Amino acid sequence: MEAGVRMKILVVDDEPDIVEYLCTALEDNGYDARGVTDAAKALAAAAEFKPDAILLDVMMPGQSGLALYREARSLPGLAGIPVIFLSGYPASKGNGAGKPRWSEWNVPPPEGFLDKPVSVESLLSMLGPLLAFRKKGGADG
Amino acid sequence: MADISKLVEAHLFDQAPFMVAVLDSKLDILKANARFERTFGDWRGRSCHELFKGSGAPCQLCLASKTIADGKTRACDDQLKTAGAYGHFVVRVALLGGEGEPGGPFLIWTATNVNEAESLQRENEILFERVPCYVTVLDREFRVVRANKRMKETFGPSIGKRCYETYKRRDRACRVCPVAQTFADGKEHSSTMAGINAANEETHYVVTSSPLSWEESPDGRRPKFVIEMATDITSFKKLEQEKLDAERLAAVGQTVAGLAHGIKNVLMGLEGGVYVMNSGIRQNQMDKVQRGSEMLTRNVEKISSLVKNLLSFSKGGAFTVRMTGINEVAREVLDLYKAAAAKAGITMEGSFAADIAPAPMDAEGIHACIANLVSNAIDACQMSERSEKRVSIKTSEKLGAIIVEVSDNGVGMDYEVKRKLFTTFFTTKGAGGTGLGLLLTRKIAQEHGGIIEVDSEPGKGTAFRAVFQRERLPKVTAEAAGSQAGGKSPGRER
Repeated sequence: MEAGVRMKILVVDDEPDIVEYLCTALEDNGYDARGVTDAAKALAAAAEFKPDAILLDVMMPGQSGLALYREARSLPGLAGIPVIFLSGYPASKGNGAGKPRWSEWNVPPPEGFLDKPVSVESLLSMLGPLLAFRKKGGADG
Repeated sequence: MADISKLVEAHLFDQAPFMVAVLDSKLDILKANARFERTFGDWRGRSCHELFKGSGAPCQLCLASKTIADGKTRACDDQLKTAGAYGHFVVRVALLGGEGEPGGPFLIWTATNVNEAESLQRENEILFERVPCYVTVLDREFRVVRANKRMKETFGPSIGKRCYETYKRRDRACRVCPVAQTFADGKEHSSTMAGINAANEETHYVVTSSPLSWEESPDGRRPKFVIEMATDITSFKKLEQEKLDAERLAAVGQTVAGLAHGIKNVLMGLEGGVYVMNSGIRQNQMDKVQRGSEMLTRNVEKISSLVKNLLSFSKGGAFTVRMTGINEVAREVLDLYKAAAAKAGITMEGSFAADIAPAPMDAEGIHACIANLVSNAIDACQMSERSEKRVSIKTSEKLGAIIVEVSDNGVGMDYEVKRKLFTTFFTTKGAGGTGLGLLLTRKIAQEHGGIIEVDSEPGKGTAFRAVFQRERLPKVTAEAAGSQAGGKSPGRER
């Protein structure tokens, strides 16, 4: 990663240990990471932090990640930010042969989907190309 | 002699106690007696179908035409138009003679009125024998004086025996007996029962008893005979049992899916702990090593608490059902949590309906079930920023269902969270909980044939309701039967 252009990642998960883990891994790999464990505070954090990508746990107590995702997609400032779902459920039913999970959840497709437990390698290999594309295509943003 | 027979013929025709008419081969009425005219009105110049049916053409199944064709005498039941309305008659048509004569051959048409009592008796006979129920008439000694065919086929000969000897193969009367109630108050009564049929199989039925006839006694008028009608519901009971078993199996499947989801979270916590610790070692940052080690400790604890809960979860088989007062159990839970809730600034209140009769339940399981809901409600309140926090336990009984409601004014839940509530391993306790509580709660409710309902609104609060239909509750287990307290639930005598 080039010096001075640290990409910003917002991690939203109600499990503090998962937030700690992902933030540490991201920081270790040259990202600027911030964690939120309360879904209700995630939108405000996103507006203030202006992340380049959001890692979002889709099932949290109180307000679910899905509701948060729907709201983020409808807000002009946040709608363009790539979102990667973190979930204990696989991305699709029937070992990948079934319909994608988000169609069942009735939300637009996210930019990525990571099945828990998430390894650092799988996280980085998903984030890398996604942000490279954003850097090229989103030079204005 | 000839004069006398003419006189007899003339008088007999008019004085016959039934309706007589003579028809020609075109079915026109040529002659009719006085009773015929009184019943059907003026017949002159009309055909039988015009007079009886108001129709221009002969009836579809015209007996008269058939008799004209083959000379055979015929009879049938028919509805005929009289001066007032349609009436029920038995009609006979026979050949009178006169073949070859103009208008011949002639027919003699006779009809008798079927009166209402006869018709009702016929209907009752059909109903008694053909209705898809076991029907018996019982005297005041509970002896069967009449029984229909279906009763005999299923339970064997019963005349002269007492009803409980036939239905239950037992020598004493039932504790809850609709027939005894009908003899006592003269009103209709109903009850769901189980008996043993002639093939020695368990048979379930719904019994209705009604007074059949009355007698005078020193204490006034009282039913002399009672009619008992029982509808067989054995196949429905079987289906219901199969459905319950299927629901239980489905619950096991969902629980396993929920477990897998929950274990993944813990696994990720463990993986995270290892990563953070290694990262600290690599960078020589002791605070990171410390944080990683704490993460490991926390998630190992979570795993062990999960395993402990799983063991209690799998203990499902050891189920002790005895007659249990739901209010006592709910009150125990209230007392258990009140002090801790008060410390967290939460008011706990209870509202218990006084008229809930004891029901066959596993008291320990129900206690765990309510306690889990209360514990969740307290957590939901603690996560809320509201100043006045409240958790309440309410019991009630509606339409044969015992309801325990635990409500709070805590954070509430949105649609997706509600939807995944019982299929996910859900924890509102951050690092503290395993999220097994709700799964366990639902499992216990299902073991009692019950369901858990949820109403929740984000920011407003949540109400969980455990609903137990009395009819679906388990049977008192054998080892607990001796120590049962209180009466049986109404209408479930067996």
